[in-house]
Amino acid sequence: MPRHFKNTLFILTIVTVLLFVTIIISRSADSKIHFIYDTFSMPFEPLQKASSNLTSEIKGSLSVLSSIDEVKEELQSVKNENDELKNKVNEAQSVIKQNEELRELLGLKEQYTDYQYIAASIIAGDATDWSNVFQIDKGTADGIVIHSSVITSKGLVGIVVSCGLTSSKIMTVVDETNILMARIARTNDLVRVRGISNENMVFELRVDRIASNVDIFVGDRIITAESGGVYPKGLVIGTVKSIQSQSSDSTRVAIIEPAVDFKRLSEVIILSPKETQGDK
Amino acid sequence: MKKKVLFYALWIIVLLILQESIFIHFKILGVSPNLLLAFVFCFSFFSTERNAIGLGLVVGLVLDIFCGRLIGPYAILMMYSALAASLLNFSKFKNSFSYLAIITIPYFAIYSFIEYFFMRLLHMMTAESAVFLKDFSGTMEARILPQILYNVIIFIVLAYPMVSTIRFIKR
Repeated sequence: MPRHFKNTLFILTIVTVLLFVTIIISRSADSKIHFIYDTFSMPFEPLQKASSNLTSEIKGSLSVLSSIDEVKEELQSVKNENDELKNKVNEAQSVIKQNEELRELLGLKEQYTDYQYIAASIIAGDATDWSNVFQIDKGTADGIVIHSSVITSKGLVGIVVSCGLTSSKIMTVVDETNILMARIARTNDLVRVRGISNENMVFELRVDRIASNVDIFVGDRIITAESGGVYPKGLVIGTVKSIQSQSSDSTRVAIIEPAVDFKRLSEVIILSPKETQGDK
Repeated sequence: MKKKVLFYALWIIVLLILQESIFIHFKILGVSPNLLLAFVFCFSFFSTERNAIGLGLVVGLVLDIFCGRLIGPYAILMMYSALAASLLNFSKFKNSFSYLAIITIPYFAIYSFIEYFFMRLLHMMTAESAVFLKDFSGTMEARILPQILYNVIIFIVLAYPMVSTIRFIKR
């Protein structure tokens, strides 16, 4: 074996071992190694934000172009209608929808008084399709801390796993590494829920080992329980999609459809504990 | 050397922004392409082993820092992928573009399989998931095959500007 190749192999081995060590260290969200993200994320944040906004604009324009035939047909069928009246109806519908969402948010706000509500936009998604991690445009400067819960008006999105000054990383609740205690809203039974999204690009969760005495049906709502203070209790995780019996024992497994549509996620709300603001 | 580092950095920044902020909105069959892998493959193919390892390490760390929860998995994957690309440039086909085009599909295919097994292993370590390959055929269909296809298409699109950059650097 040539000498230079031996040296290369030696370097490669050392670096590989070091990288495995960083993987182990970075498993904990509290690990100091995440300072790397804090340091490097800030200069990129404006670029990410700008490109994300640009893409949204382009997508909007493309969707208009792709539906041009439909629009033409629609125009033909409604040409006798009063345009002004139609616009007013559309506006009214939009206001009603917005109002519904705001009511839902208001309900949440009244429910969780110990938290500060921080609205954020998603500026970068899971580029590798493996981590279920999104980046948002708010960071420690806006009052976000690690382990803050991330929600929408529909329900739980995930948790903040890394914070930079002006951006943060959130891990979605459907990630395979995510395990949380939850309750069946109808019966208040305590269950353990974990994400199973890393197979086949399906965003789902699973309730493992449901005992025979636990009353659970398809359509039941699953909500967060008080699990060590990470997630506030009562946030909607999703609804039971299917229940399967385990052949090995008498337990059952339930598949949960998340309340949040992760494929269309663009805006989120961060629940940051108010104490942190006071500490600052 | 300065010119090389500058161009490498520019390519990495542009591809990172494209990959994480733009291409995630343009998924094909639910998957997004790995633009930085195309970059690593092309630039490592025309590099020495040591340079390729360095390049793969940097690109992998960038992916880990910006896109992942753990720091290290993509650094390892990219480092070895870069070394493989560099070693594939046998003296018989030294810097041949047609040879590069031929090995593109097997390279991306092997990478996708290794990435899958490696990430499954890591998930087994980090999550309470006892099963290594839960639904391999389903994953092949839903994730691996579309990813290979998308990565190859992206590489074909990016190959010309990347090779032009390499020629410009070497001038």
